[in-house]
Amino acid sequence: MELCIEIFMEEIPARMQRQAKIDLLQLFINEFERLKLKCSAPEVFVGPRRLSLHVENIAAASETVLEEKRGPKIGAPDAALQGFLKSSGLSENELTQENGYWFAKINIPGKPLQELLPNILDKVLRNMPWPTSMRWPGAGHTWVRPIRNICCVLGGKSVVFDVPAAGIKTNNYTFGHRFLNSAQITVTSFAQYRQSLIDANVMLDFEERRSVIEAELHKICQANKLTFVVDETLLDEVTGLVEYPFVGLGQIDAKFMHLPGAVLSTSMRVHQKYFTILNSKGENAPFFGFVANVPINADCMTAGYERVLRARLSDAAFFYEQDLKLSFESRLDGLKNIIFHADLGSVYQKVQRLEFCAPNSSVQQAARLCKCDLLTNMVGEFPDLQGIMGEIYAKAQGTPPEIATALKGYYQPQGANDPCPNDDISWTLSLLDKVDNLIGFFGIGMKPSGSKDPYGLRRSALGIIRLMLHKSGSNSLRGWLEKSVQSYQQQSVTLKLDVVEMVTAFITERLSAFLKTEMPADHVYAVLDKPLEDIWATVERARALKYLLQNEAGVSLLSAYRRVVGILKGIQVGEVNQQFFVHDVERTLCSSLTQATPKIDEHLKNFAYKEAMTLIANLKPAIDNFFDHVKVMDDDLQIQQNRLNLLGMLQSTLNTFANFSKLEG
Amino acid sequence: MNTQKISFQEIILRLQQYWANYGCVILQPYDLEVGAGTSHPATLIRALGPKSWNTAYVQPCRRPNDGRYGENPNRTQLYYQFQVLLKPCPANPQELYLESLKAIGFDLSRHDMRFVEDDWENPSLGAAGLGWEVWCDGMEITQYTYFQQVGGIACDPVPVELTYGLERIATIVQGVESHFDINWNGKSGDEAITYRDVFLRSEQEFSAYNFEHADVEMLLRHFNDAEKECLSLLELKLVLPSYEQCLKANHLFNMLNARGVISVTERAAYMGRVRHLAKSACETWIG
Repeated sequence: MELCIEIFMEEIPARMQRQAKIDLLQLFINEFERLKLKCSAPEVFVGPRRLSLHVENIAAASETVLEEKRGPKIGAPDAALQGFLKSSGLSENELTQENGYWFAKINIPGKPLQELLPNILDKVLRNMPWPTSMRWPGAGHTWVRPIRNICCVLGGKSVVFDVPAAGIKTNNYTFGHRFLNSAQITVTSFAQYRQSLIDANVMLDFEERRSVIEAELHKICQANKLTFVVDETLLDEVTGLVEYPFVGLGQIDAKFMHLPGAVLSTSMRVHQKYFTILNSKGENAPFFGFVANVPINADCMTAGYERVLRARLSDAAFFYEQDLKLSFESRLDGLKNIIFHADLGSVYQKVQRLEFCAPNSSVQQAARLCKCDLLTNMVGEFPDLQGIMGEIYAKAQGTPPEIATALKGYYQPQGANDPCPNDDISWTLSLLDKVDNLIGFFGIGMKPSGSKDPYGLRRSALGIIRLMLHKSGSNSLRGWLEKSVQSYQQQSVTLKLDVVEMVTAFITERLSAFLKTEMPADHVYAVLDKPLEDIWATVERARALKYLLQNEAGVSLLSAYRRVVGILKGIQVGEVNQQFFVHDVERTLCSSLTQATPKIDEHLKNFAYKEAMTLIANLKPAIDNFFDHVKVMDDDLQIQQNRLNLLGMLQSTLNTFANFSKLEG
Repeated sequence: MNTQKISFQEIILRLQQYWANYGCVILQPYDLEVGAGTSHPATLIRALGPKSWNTAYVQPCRRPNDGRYGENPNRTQLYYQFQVLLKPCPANPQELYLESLKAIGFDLSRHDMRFVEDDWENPSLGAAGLGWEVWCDGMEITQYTYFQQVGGIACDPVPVELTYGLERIATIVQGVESHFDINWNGKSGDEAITYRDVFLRSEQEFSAYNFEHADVEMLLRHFNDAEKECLSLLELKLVLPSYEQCLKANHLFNMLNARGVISVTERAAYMGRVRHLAKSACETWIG
C-alpha cells in the first residue's frame, strides 16, 4: 500500500529545511522498524510550508511478533505461578519449561497500519529535533511554527485521526501555493499529489527548486553577458523561501557603484538575499539577481526590490562616509572598551601584545591597525566585513598598501580549506594572532574540552600548522610561544607556568591529527616521538618517511631494523672494533655506516629529508649481506660482541631520523 | 480602487476599522517615549495572564540611534507602528494579516510577499517569541511574532503580535521612494501635506539633539532616578507606575547609547538593569 503524509504548516525557516527533511525521514524509519512494519524506502520532501512523507509500498499491518516472557522458577510457590499465568493470559499447559524456569511464549499478532498511524505520527511530531520550536494554542507539543493541516492517505484512502501534538485531526487534502493557487486539493496518490501541487504552483522537491533557481540565474546572466557569484548558502536560503521559484534581475543605482564590491555584495546578501552579479572582467556589475515566490512584474516588484536596495545602500554609503571621516588609527583608543577576555584584558591590550611580538616595524604597524576596523560603523553593521574594511579604510587614508593588505590577509587561513596569506606581513601577523590566543587561553586554563571550543583554539592551532607549512622553511615554534608569554608578562597577566609546554603538546596533538589524514598513524607516531620543535621540519620528515616506506627497499629496511631491535634487546653495546671483524660483509657494513652517518646528519641539519632517506635506503644491500653471511651470535664472544656493537651503530643511525620502533609491520 | 491615493492617515483609519471589525479594542498610543509598540502596557503587560485580550493601536516609536538628520529616505529616529495583539492567537492569524493588507489597498498578486524567519527578542524587556519579518518585494513591512515569554514569564495562552511599519507600507502603497514623500492627508496640490511637512524639521533637530547635544550627565542622573523610582514603586505593588519608570529608564539608556558614551561592556550592564526592572514589574503583575 502507498502511504502519503503531509504536515502543512506556517513558513519553516529556510535555514532549517534541509536538516528537517533528514530528521523527519529518520524518525519515520525508526518508527516503522520499531513496529515491524515492512516497507520500501521512504522519502521526505520539504518546502516552505510543508514536509511530505511518501512510502511507495508499506505493509498493511505490522508483523506478528513472538514474545517470550520468563516466569518464576519451577517449583516456586504456587502463588507465583498463578500470578504469572494471570499476567501472561495463558493456562499452565501452554507454558514451557527451560533451564529451570517457566516460560510463556506468546504470539502477538500484528496490528493494522491504520491503527498504528496515530501513534506513529504523534511520536514523530514529539521527537522532531527543531533548532527552535514554539507553543501555540491547541497544540499539545511544540513545533517550529504552528501546524495548520495534516493530510494522511493510505492506499488512496483518507485516514482520519486526532493528532494531539498538533491539536488537529488528519484529513485527505492539502493546499496549493499561498498566493497563486491556494485552493484545497484532495489527495488520492503520491503521483497525483505531486502533480496537483505543480498545477497549483508548488514544486515539492527542494533540490529541484534549487537547480531551477541556479539554471535560471545562469540563463538570465548569460543573456546579458554577465555572471553571478554562486553562493551555495544563499542558494539554499532562497530555495527555502519559495514554493515555486521565479528569478529576476534588478539594477543597482549608479550612485552606489563607488562603494567597495565587498560592501555591495555583503549588504545585498545579508539584508536582501540578492545575488551578486559580475561583468565580463569579474568586477561588480550594477545588477543583482533575486528570487521571487510569484511571477515577476517589472513595474511593481522589480521596482520595489530596487527601491529597498537603494535604502540599504544609502545606509551603507552613510556608514562608509562617516567611517572615512575619522582617522583609522585614532580608533585605537576605543579598543580599550572592547573586552578580549575578562582575564586577558581588552582588545587594546591584545594589540599591544601583538606589537610587542612583531619581529619588524612593518608587522608592528600592521598589528597596531589590525583591530581598528572593529569600531567602524560598517563592521558594526556587517561583522563579516572585519578585515576587509580594515584594508579598505587604511588604504583610503594612505596607509602603505603592503600594510593595508595585511589587515585583511591576517584573518587567513580561516578554515581547513582557506588559503594562507602569501605576503610576509600578513603571514607573521596571522601567526602572532593565533599564538596570542593559544598562550592566553591555555595560560588561564581555558582549554578546549570535548566538543566545546568556544575560543576556536583548535582552529588557531591548525592555522599555525598550516602557516608553517605554507612558508616551507625551518622555524622554531618555541621562539614564537616564548615571545608571546613575555608579551603577557609585560602586561602583568599571570599565566600558568607550563603554558609553553601545554600549547606545544596541544599543537602536537593537532599536528598528529593533521598528518593522519595523509599517512598511516604509525608513521606519525614515529616522527612525533620527540618534543615538537619545528612544525615544518617534522612534517617534511614524516613525508620522507612515508616516501621511504612506500618502496620495497624501505619495507625490507624496516624488517631488518626489527631484527636488529630483537637481537639487541637487553644487550649493552659499545664501540665497534675493526680488528674483530672476520668477514668482509662486516667491514662493508661498518664502512657504509661510517661514510653515511655524517652525510645523513648533514642532510638532516639541512632538512634534506628525502636525501637522508635515500642514504638510509642505500644501506640496505650492506645490511642484507651482513645477515646473509654471518651469524651474529658467534661462538667467540669477542666477535659476537663486536657484531652486536655494529648492529647498535646501525640502530642509532636509523634512529636519528625517526623512531622506527613505533612503526608497524 | 486606485492604490496611489490611499493616504498615510487613511491607512491608519482602515487598519483600525479592519481590526475593530475583528473585535479588537482600539486603543491610543502610550504617552511616553518608547522604542516599540510592544512596550505599550496594552501589549507587554496584557500579553501575560489567562484572560483573552485583543487590541490594536498606533504607537509612535523613538529610536535615537536611527536618526539620520532627515537625510536617509527610510531611517528616522521617530516613526509609527501599528500594533495588533491577539490573545489567544486564533487558528488563522496569517490569513487575517494578509486580509488586512488587502484592506489598505495591497494587490497581493502583484507583490512578492514572504514570511522570513526572524525570532524576535527584546532582552531589556525579557520578552521573546518566534515568527517572521514579513517582506514585500524585499522590504520588511511587518514584524510577526508568536510571543513565548514576556518579562521572563511564559505566555499562556500564546498571543500573536503584528507590528506594521506604517511608513514602509505607505511607501509601497503610494509608490514613493522616501518616507518624506508620503502623502499624509490624501489631498493634492497646495492642500497636500507630506511626511516631510510634518517631520523633516523634527528629524533634523532631534538627530542633532540625540547624537550631539543631549546632556550626558543629566541623562545618567535621570536613568538612576527612574531606576530607583521603579523599584520603590514595586515595593508598593504599584505595577503600572513602576513599569512607566522602567520605560523611561529604557529610553534614557537609548539616548546614552546614541550619544556614544556607553562602551560595549557597559551596554550589557545597562541592559541588565532595565531587564531587571521589566522583569520585576511583570512578576508583580502576575502576582
